Amino acid sequence: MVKPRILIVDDDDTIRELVSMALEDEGYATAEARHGLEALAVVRQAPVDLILLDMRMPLMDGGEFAQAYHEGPGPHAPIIVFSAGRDADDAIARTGAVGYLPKPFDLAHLLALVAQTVTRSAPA
Amino acid sequence: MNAPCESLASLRPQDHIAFLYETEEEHRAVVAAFVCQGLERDARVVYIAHSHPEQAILAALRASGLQVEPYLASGQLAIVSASQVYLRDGTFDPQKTMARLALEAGQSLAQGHRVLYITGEMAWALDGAPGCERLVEYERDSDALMPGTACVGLCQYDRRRFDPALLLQVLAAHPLVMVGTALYHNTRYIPPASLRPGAATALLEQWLEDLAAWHQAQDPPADPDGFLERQPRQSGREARLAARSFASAQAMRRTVEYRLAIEGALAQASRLLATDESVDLSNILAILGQAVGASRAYVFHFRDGTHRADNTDEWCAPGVEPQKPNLQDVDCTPLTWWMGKLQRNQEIAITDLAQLPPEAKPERQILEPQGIRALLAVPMFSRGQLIGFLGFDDTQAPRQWPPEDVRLLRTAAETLVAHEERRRAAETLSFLAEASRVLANSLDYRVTLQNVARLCVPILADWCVVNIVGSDGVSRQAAFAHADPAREPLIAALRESYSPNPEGPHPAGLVERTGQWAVRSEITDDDWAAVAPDSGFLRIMRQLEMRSGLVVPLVARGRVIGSLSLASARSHRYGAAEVALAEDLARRGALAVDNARLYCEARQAVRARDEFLSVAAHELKTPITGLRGYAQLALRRLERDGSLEPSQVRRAMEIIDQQSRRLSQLVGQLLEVSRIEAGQLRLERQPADLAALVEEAVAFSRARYSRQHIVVRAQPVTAVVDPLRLEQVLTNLLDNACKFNRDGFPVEVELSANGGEVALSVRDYGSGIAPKDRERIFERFYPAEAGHPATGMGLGLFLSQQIVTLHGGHITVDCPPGGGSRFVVTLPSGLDAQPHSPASTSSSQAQPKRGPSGEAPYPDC
Repeated sequence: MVKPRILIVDDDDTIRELVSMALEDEGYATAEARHGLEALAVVRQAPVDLILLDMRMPLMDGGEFAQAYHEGPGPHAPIIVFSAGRDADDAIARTGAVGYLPKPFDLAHLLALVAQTVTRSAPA
Repeated sequence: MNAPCESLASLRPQDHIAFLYETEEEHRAVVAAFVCQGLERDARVVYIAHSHPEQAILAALRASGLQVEPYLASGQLAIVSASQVYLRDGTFDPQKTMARLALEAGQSLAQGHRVLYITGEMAWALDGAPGCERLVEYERDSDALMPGTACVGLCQYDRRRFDPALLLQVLAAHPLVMVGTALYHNTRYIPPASLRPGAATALLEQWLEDLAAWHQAQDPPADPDGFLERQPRQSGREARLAARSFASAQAMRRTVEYRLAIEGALAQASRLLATDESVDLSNILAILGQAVGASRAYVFHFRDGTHRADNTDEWCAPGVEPQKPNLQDVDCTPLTWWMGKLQRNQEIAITDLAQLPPEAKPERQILEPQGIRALLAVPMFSRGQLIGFLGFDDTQAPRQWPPEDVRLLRTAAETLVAHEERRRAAETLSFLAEASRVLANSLDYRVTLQNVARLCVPILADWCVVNIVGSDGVSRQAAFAHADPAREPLIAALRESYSPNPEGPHPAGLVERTGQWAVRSEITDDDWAAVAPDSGFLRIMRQLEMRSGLVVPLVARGRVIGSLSLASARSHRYGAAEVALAEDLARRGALAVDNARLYCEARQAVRARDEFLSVAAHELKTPITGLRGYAQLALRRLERDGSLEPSQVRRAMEIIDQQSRRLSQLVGQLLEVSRIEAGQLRLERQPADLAALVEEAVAFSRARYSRQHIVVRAQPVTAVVDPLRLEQVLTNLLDNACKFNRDGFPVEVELSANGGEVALSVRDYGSGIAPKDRERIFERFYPAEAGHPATGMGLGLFLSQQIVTLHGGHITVDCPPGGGSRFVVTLPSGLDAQPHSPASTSSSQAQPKRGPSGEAPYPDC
């Protein structure tokens, strides 16, 4: 079975490293990007199964990335937003995310949400 | 009324009657008829009682069918005691009593009554109080008073009690006498004029002449006016006396009728002025002019503090050409003869224009073209100030101006001034009340400013501008209004094109510095031409038409917050009254503006606190996520594997250490921001080697951002700075640059000195900052606003800017060719120049920049 590939987009090095390690411990493959522009480059090279997306990043923020991503050729992976911002509804509306996780989050919550999303969107 | 008193119906204002009675029936009948008539004629009636108790008087009035209560309640009927009116501290003084009666008559007019009916029981004089021997003197005085007041007097004499010799003297002082219930013209009366020294001879001659004329006449002279009908024939002797006095009575009657007409006109005019605040003055002038048979009647008002007069109201007899349109802004300065008389409070009576004194040549040049043959004018004074004059013209022929005419015009002028003062006071009061109401209606800053401007037009100005001193100390136009809204764009154009110049002709700057009002009474087109920076300015000012102006400071809580500039198309618009009103309005306006600003600032402070909390939460959440995440990751692995590899423990500990350091740094920054807000951030300056400082900061960043290539070009520079603070600035700029730089490009740091200035720049090759963000990027929490891409710069740039400002320098950002951003810090080296005063380094002075300097100083509400 091919490991589901998850893209982590966050400008904070520590958080990328943390989430990446936690996901790998659970058997996922991961990719990292520091902002929207890098994330677009990653998904153009190879499709991913899920995108964990921060909202506030330099160069290209989460909302701008989601718009550019969805304008590009599909299929499109589901997006889960994790953000320290206050406006979850706005973040979901701007990214079309299927899930939202406020920072600081529990790793257990994150992993549960990831597992649920990957299972649901996995091809039958 | 009772039949015997029919003759009372012919009573007119100014009649002065001695009432001689022998029975209480006579007394009751006459007094009741007199009082009833007065009340029916809408007069105020004052009964001065002495021997009759008040209850008996009221009973007599009720018995005659009068409902006394409503009149007593309204004050139209009053019963007072003789000792109250006639005696002062038990002593009788005719002059004081006269003054009291004149006052009563004036008050009656002021209360809207046509006339005062006054009747007194004179038996008090028999009680022997000190001074009561002056009774006859008083009766003489009051007879002389009567023509000057709208007053009818009935003096009650009880024949049973008074000595006949005294009664004869009393009779000589009354033009009319009532014996029982019959009214007579008094043949015993000696007019006051005849009592003057030397007049006795003339009187005697007149009597002898009359006597001769009567003896010559077979029959008494014809009596077309029915004059004698008023005098019931009593005896042969009285009839003879009546005929003797008839010839002079004819002449006197004409005089009396003329006086009556004038008195009637005056009463009518006074009543109109007293009851109708907005009465058309030309109606008053018509009444006055018609009474004396003038061709024109008119009022002139001087413009405040000048000799320039405007014909403000005019009445013309039919067929007489109006002069008002030609007589505006008349310069009376050359009219020295005219003005001299007015200022000495003398009337100007010209019986024949052809006989003006030679020195009145300038006057003749003005009067002749108006077709004037004769003229009478009297000055109007208000609080000792000559404010104008009131006059009559005769365009038909030369004419005399008898004392009645002068007195009419004098009294009318006084009444008019009183009316104007009253109306002005009432207008001021209601205007200020309305102003307070309008100003209390809104707490919105802009609306309040606009309200202040709106309130000024048209009552105080044709157009006006409200200036507010901004936080940068520059005064700017914040609101304006024009009585003609179509011309408001001109005022806006003034603001757009002509920035305020503190050295310029506009006194707003001076007023704002000194807190004292300033007035320009006369501004000519030449004046405008002299100060206009270009023809556009002159064109605008000509269209706006400004001939005089007043600037008052806006002062709130003891601080000048701006100024109110009032402009009028008329010169000399602003006198003491206008200044007082403008200052009052400015006080209220400033208070309202200040309140609106405080409210706005309070709301801003609340919003800033919310933003602060939001930013603080956001900034703190990221390191907390790392801390918690690594702790949880370690726990999960421990549970799964039963143990942790040393490398995993090491990494978790490193991250926890690093993130908790980051947390404490953030907490420190947040505390610093609140310290700056409270004005408590202070610098510890010392001479420092800036090149070394730069190297140190760069070394730290290289360690932290190992992927970044940082290039330094530093001259050796020493400056007096707070080295720790400056390092904080540099570290922040380096952080940002490393964070936003594009991979493969260097971060460039440059340090140079130029004269007394030090320049330190940090440049990256990232995506740069949009021009719209460059101004605001240094604002506190600016990047915290939703959706802003420049994340992570939160407090750092704000703190950097504050620190640089405290050093007396500034920080800017631009986008150099080649992309990216360049932050440039410029500081005074602080070596040569005199040290900065402590005040200038306090952070309370270091206000963040508030938008481009041309912008109106609105708080951002």
